[in-house]
Amino acid sequence: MSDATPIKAIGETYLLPEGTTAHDLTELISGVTENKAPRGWWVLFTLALLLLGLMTVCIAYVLYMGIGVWGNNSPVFWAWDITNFVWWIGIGHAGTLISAILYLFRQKWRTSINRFAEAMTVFAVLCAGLFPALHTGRPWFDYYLFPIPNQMAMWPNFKSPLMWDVFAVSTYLTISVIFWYVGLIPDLATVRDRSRSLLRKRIYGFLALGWRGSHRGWQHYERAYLIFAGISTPLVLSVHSVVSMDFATSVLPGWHTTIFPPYFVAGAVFSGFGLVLTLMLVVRSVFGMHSIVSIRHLDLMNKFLLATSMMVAYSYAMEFFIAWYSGDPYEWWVFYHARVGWAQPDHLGNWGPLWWSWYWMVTCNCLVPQVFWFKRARTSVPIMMVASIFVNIGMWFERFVIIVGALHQDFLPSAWGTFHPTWIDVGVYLGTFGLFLTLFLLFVRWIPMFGIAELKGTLPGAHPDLHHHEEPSPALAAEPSPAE
Amino acid sequence: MSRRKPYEIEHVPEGAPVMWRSLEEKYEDPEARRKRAEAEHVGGFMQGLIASKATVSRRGFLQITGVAAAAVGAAGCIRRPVDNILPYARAPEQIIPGIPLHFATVTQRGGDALGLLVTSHDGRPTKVEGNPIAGFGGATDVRAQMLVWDLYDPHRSKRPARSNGGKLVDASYDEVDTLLSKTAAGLGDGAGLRILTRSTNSPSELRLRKAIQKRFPKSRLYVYESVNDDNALEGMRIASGRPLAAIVDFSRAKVVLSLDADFLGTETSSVRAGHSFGRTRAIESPDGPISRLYMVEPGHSITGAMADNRLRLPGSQIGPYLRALAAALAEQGVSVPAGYAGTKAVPGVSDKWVTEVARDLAAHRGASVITAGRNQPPAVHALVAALNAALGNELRTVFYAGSTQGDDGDLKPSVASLRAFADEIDGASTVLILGCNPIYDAPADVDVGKVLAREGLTSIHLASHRDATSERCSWHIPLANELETWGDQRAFDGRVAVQQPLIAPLFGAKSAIEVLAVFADEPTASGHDIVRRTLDLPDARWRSSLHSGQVNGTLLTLLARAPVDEGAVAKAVASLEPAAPPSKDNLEVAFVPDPALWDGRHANNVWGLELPDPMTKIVWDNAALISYKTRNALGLKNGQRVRLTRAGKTVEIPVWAVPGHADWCVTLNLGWGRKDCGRYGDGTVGGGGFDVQPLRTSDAFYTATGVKIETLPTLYNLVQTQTHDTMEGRPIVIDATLDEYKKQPDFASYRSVVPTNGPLWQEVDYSKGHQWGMVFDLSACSGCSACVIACQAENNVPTVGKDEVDRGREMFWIRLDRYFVGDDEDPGVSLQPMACQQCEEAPCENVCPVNATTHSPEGLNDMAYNRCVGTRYCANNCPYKVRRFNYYDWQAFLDDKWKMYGEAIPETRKMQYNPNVTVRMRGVMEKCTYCVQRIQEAKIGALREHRPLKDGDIVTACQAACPTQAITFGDLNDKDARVTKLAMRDRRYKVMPHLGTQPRTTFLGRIRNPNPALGQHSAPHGEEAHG
Repeated sequence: MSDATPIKAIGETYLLPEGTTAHDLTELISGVTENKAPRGWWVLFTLALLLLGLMTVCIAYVLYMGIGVWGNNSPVFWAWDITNFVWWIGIGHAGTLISAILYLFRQKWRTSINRFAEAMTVFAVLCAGLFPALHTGRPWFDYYLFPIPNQMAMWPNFKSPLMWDVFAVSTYLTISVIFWYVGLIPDLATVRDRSRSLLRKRIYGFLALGWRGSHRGWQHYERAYLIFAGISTPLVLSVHSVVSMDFATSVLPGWHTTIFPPYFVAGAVFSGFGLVLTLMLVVRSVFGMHSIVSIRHLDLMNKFLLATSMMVAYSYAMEFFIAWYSGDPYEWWVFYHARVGWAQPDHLGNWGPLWWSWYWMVTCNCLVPQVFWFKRARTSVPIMMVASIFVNIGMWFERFVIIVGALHQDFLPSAWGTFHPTWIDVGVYLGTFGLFLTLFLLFVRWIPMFGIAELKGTLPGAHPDLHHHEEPSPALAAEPSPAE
Repeated sequence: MSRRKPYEIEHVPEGAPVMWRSLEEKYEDPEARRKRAEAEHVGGFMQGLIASKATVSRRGFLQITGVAAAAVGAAGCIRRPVDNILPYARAPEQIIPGIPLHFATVTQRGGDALGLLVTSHDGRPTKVEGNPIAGFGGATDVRAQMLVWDLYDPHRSKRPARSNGGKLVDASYDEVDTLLSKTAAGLGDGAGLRILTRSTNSPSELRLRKAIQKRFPKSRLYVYESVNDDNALEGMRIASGRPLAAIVDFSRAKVVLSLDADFLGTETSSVRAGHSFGRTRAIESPDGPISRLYMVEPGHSITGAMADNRLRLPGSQIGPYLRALAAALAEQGVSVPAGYAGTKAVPGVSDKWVTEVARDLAAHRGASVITAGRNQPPAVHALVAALNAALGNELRTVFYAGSTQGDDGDLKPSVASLRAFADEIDGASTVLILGCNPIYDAPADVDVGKVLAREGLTSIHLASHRDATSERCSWHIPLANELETWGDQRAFDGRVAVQQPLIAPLFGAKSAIEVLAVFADEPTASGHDIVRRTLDLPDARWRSSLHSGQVNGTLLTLLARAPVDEGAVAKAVASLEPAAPPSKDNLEVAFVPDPALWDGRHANNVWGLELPDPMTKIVWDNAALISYKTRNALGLKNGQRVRLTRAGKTVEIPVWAVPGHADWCVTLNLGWGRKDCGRYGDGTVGGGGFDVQPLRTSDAFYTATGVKIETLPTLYNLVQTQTHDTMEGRPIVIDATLDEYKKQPDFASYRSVVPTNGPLWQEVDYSKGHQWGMVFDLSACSGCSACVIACQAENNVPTVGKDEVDRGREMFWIRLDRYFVGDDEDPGVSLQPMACQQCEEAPCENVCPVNATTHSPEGLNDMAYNRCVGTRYCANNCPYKVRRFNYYDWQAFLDDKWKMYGEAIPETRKMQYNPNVTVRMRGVMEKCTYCVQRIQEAKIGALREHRPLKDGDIVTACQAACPTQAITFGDLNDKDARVTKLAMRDRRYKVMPHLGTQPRTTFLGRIRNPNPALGQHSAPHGEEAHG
């Protein structure tokens, strides 16, 4: 069907409630930045600052003492640090997927969540970036990882996947920030134009880069946005593929797997959608954005969750199949003993010491999202809230299972160990939530959290053929809003 | 023309010779010269610097002041230590800064001596090796490697002390010297003098003892050694009338029966034994000779791990077993007097273990040997001597030597001697305690504390630490370390070696002979003079003795025949009747010396504390070792505390189950739980172990029977370096029985297949130049752990403390992996030294983002510590997990964490470091380098001598220390090198070669030679990987 076909004719409805005007959107979304913050925001912000403080203290302690304050050991040289890194990086992927790929596919419903998801991407990548920088033994020499010409004639090793990581993550951060910012320009201009105080005018005026809303401006803008969407799209696939190569290119059973790049991407999108959903539900309720983020949006996102969950589950199954098919006893050990446990107990009848983490992962990532086969679950806010949190937990465990689960029992049983986190491990991880939430809450407070201009584009009035085809439809107006 | 200012010849004194550089210069017109200089630098040379008047502007002034202030501030930040540098006014001969020197010396090992060669860097002894001339190919044991740490122990006693109201207060050496000479002068006939000392094989000390006896005829001498060979000596006294020492030459023995003798580990002269035994195990080809070792023991020692057939048997049943064996030997036609033979029905011993072992021994008359451990009663030792004689082993595999520790009549058992010391204390006015710590290690029923508390007794204690005994004495004098004092030692074979100091006593300590000299009225009390007077050598021979580490011409002077008094032996062995085997209410406890801490004398040695026990892999603690069956029957967990009670004495200690331990028997390691040894060993930094001495009474000094066990509710955290005990069917330590080896000589590489397809990329050509490689012969490796400490000392490998080992952060560059295979109760043991394999296709190198670990052209996997940022990716990707990470600043970690010294780490800690190896900081990865510093040193040496590097020029630290020569290092491109030949042996294999790592380290599969008639340990090759 062509884009020109009236929306009614294909059995779809408009994204926003009937009768929403462009002015309503402007008022509603800009209003957040202009009115006093609701109490819920303050509560969350206080909590976020507390966590940020915790992070600062913990990081200072790590830098002062050395990373021995974490639970990492031999053979588990990477543990929560890299788990958190991969987890946060994965979170970011949903933002890029929503903003870039869905844009290219003209999925208009993305407009309600894309700003949000993009901001989440940027903040998540910032949190992620902390861990590789902090986890090195001598973080003050982290600059050795960058190809900076120097008097020591040192040059990084481009064979190392960690090196690729440096490029992948820094590219990702750069593109994400630019893409996000480009999308923000018209909306910042809107806020600027509504500003009453001089300070606001100055700040938003500076940030809006002189946007005038001219046709020529819009034309260039749309073109630029499309190009950035095009640049970002491969990043959705490449960044997490590169991250997965940290593991896939090694010799370790449980890491040395060709399925990792697509598997990681699917997992990243999955976890990203999980966190978008969690945050969306909170913000929606705090700021009363039910009209913009409707149950329909949530329903669609839950479908995404279900789909990516199935992909992830497929990857898990395929990993097991390949491990079995390889006939490699070391692979078997990782999957049957360290993960499943009962399938291959050791000589004392014990399961792998970290078997429970695999069960957490499967439960959260494969079983819990199955509730979304049911429309009732997909449209129930409490259920999706709980499920999305489970997804976040499950995806953290996925990385834990991959990293610690493979490291703690590798080739020589004499070197086997296990892992116990310390309070500092927990503190740094919780602390990054503080960083994330602080940035995020500042974002929702001061920056239009939905794309005003883009949302306006989904209004009936924005449809070029509106007046030719549109007929009032009582059925649409009468559609009951599902219980929330 | 040069830019230098022209040389002005002015005011040349009349008649002075004119010096000139060229005729042009000499006859040049000074004006022309000035002009030329002017042309070169207009305005003169100083023009820019010294202006005629100050032209500094206000702004310029402020700039300069600002910069200067910043510079001063910056300079203030860089604190330079105030140091007075004094050049040698007269340089000592041979000392070239940066070039280490090596000195031969010697250390005591019970009645034997171990020749050492100590490396000294700029006057600091840093590393102990075996003396290749006077020792065993340069091999040492764990304790010799630990010696350096003992020397630099920061908690050593630093100055003399005097008791003041029950507390020790510092005293001066002047006071001590006055005290000693005054005391000696006022003793009269010596009726009030009691000397309690350690056993010694020092000719000087023996001479001084005699001199004291002569000067003070009524003085009394007591010798106490907590870990001693009295049973063996008493046994020989029974068998042959003289307390002879048996020296076993294992290299000639085809069949060895060891009765509770851990001759590769804790028995006296284990290095001597390992050196000769290792040769019989390193089988060259399927047709080559290999010995067979039968082991009968209650605990599980490393010798038991080497055994081809092992029988776990309570210590009390070993005597009856030997009598049963004597009966079986008689049946085999060996002329054994009827009095020796006993019943063949010994509980716990199958008939086969008697008849088949007897058959094997009888079939190898003259090429077999029986040896018994120090915990076995004298009668067993006597019978062993008699059976060895009957088997014709004397002068073939077993030799006897007169005691190195004095005349036969002077040798008294330690326990009796200490008891006499306590009993005969009446009338004593002065007690000299030299080196002993009887408050800690005396039998529990001898109350030395009470003796020392007597009124009016002047007790003088010479000890390395202010220990429990010092606190009860009226005077304490610091005891010099063996590395800082003169002395001499006589080995079993009669060789005398001079113990020369490597360094002046760090804190001005005294040695035992220096104290004795005062009482012996020697002309001078300096150790050097005493030793020279004893040995009485002309200067040239003295110097050559110092150089070689042994006094030439003293070899074999003690060798003796041991004619067996059959009647006496028969009478003695009559007591060896099978008793009721130990049971739940009647446990049998064996006291064994700790492999590292020994009797407690090394209790503050951090290396020893952190050295994993070879069998249990427990660090920083000891435990009551029991069998699985015992543990399960008592419902205990590993680490659960129990109370052992015997005759009103109790010990509380956690238990640990060891596979292969005899049921209802307990093995207790001595040397732990000393609260008086310094802050590393006393438990301050965690661990420290449990004192088992309270259970050790004089009637149950070696083995205690009738011990009751009581379960306590609490658990104690025992920490191991290796927590998984089986290989789970993986081809890691590969072994085969001799039969299997004969059937398939390449059994090892058959199980551990090297992939035929190479890597995807162009491989480096390693066919040129030196290509370093190492071979570990698993057949020869006994697991003694000397290599572990040797590596630690050589490479500045830090210790991390109990808590950090618990986290899995131990730093050993070489570790000994120990796997149990087969049955829980009667397992086989597989040992494997594991260090960096120096893979040609090293997985660690590709993944380092900063190129901190790269490959050298000589095939070494190098670490550039400066470049390492510590991503730890290399360690993750290492299949052997031999990379170690500095999670903290380990070098000062324990000291900082436990606030050992306030601000600064004492200099003595730093003195131990090998200056040729970087001391790694926090946050960098480290690992075995094949001792790259030694490779470089040898290469430089060869270059200076204009000769190619020879095989054997480079000896790595682990290789040098290994008593059984299980480790070989060399150039794999040298076709004649030993390492190349070994690496081509048919039982070669690599670990995890299927990963394509192409390791440079080759392992030689272990060959077990069990008696087919007895069954064998289930070897791991029977089970394939789980499926």
